[in-house]
Amino acid sequence: MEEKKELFEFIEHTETEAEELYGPSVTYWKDAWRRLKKNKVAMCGIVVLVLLTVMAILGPMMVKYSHADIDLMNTNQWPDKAHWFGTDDVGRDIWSRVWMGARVSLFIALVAAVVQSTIGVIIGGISGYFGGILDTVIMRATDVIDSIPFLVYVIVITMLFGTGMVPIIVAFALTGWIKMARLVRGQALQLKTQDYVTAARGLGAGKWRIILHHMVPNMLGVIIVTLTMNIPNAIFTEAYLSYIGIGLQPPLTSWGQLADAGAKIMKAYPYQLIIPAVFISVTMLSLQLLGDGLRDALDPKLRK
Amino acid sequence: MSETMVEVKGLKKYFTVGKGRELKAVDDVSFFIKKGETLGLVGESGCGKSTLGKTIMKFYEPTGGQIVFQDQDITKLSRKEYLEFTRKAQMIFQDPYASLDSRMTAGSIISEGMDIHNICQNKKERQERVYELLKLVGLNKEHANRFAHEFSGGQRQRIGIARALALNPRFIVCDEPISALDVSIQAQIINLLLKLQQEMELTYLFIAHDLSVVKHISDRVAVMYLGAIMEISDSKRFYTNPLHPYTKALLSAIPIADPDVTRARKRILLEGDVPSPVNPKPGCKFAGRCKFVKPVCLEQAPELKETESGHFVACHQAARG
Repeated sequence: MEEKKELFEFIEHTETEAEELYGPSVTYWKDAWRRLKKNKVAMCGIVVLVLLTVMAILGPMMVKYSHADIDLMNTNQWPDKAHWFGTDDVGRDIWSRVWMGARVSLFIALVAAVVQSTIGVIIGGISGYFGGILDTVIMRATDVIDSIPFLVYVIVITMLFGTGMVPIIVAFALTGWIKMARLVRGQALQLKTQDYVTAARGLGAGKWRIILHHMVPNMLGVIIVTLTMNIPNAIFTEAYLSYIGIGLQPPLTSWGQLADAGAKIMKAYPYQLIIPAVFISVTMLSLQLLGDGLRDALDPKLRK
Repeated sequence: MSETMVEVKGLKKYFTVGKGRELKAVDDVSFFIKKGETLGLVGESGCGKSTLGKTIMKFYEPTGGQIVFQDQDITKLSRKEYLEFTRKAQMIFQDPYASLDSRMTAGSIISEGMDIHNICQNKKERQERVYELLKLVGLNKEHANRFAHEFSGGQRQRIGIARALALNPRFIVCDEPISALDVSIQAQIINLLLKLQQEMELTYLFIAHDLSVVKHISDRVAVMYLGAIMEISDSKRFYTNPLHPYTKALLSAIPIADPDVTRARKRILLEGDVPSPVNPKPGCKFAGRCKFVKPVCLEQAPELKETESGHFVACHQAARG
């Protein structure tokens, strides 16, 4: 047996091996971004959205026609070299109208969704986190606000402030936060009783630390998915308001209005409907893919 | 400074459940924990053990009574005093899955207390301290960057322990820290807790429902039933000479790994179920299930009386001898 001992070499146990496995310190946000970057589908969504935004800024400058120029000699032109997306029933260039519409649609949708979500998160968060009588009062008030139809708000606001982008955004903001508030309230009610929140309180964490460090990151998935759903919703609602004549007024345009105009003559000139419809669809698809990707990236449990 | 770490006097915690109905989770409880000792707190599920622990940790506002911590009355604390208190008293939670935020890395979970109290001057010092704590609870440096769900139950509980130790507390409430773990892991965690107690001179309130574990870790044991303490004595006497009928019944239910002994001994079977803690009847809480019940038991709740030195029992019959 003694000879055999020489066959074996004693390797001292060191910590170096363990340390090799150890990567640089990552925070939650860095890790989430790293995971998002790995998600090809979500990154495609980001690229498309960035392209759309850039084109909304540069697009109208690329052609010599303005979105408002009427050219009655060239109405309902099919796409050709002069008019890349053709012209509409009064001869306006659709390419420039699509990108002007993109500015309006994207702006309204983004601002409305962000405002709605911010109000919703704050009200829902307060209601759920503090609970008690405050919660009851807030939720009953929410029910009252929710019981009045959306259209009534829009009509009252347009009567007061006239038509245009700002009144539409105000109308969206006034009503759209309710869904988000209910959702966030439910989450807050559930999260505040979690042991890790109790533990944080036991370590001396104050309200804001608990809300910002524990509640918000844990709710973010739900918030972001709802937010990305709110954006297409805003685009559609704006289109529908324009259709009944209390939305934007021509020559100002939006994707919703373009699609609406195109729908009226789609049998003869289908491209006038198809072009804005494709843009609306691509935007929504990209947003939802990005939303899904964000939700996954923000949940470390799905880390690969 | 006295030898007492925590003293609880007539502590009450009632929850309101519906109209005029009160759930008396902790009802007039008094006891003390000496510095450096472990007080085991046992009882059935729902008897108020965890509520008692959480009330001492100030997670709940007590309905009545007094909590004295290191000679300071902590029943009412300002925010500043509470912050000071959190540095001295910490808690280890029952469920290692629910008690760690899944969105945080182990490192940031452990360092949260240090961040709140601004203990560390810079990032490097903070990181060093995290590594030190990880090592102390038997984990590696490399674990600091992992998220909670990447650990096993035992490892998670170790992180929970490291989090509690980060502020160098003197007193730790262990709220069933092992009941959610595998038996093999339970022993590891118990040994870790014992080791830490020796190294850091910690005082524990160890809440459990496993009597064998409590026997192993505790200097003294308290038995709780329906929100009241039935018996407190030092660990040895508790197991050899229990006085309260409820304690006797509990002890007779401990499994013994010897079939001859098991066959020979007589199990005391309790009749009925634990009554609801909502609006309990007057008198001894255990009266409804006690074999030795006398009229006095139904009228008057027995006080916790010292029968021998250090052996307290709340029973009209046992106290008489």
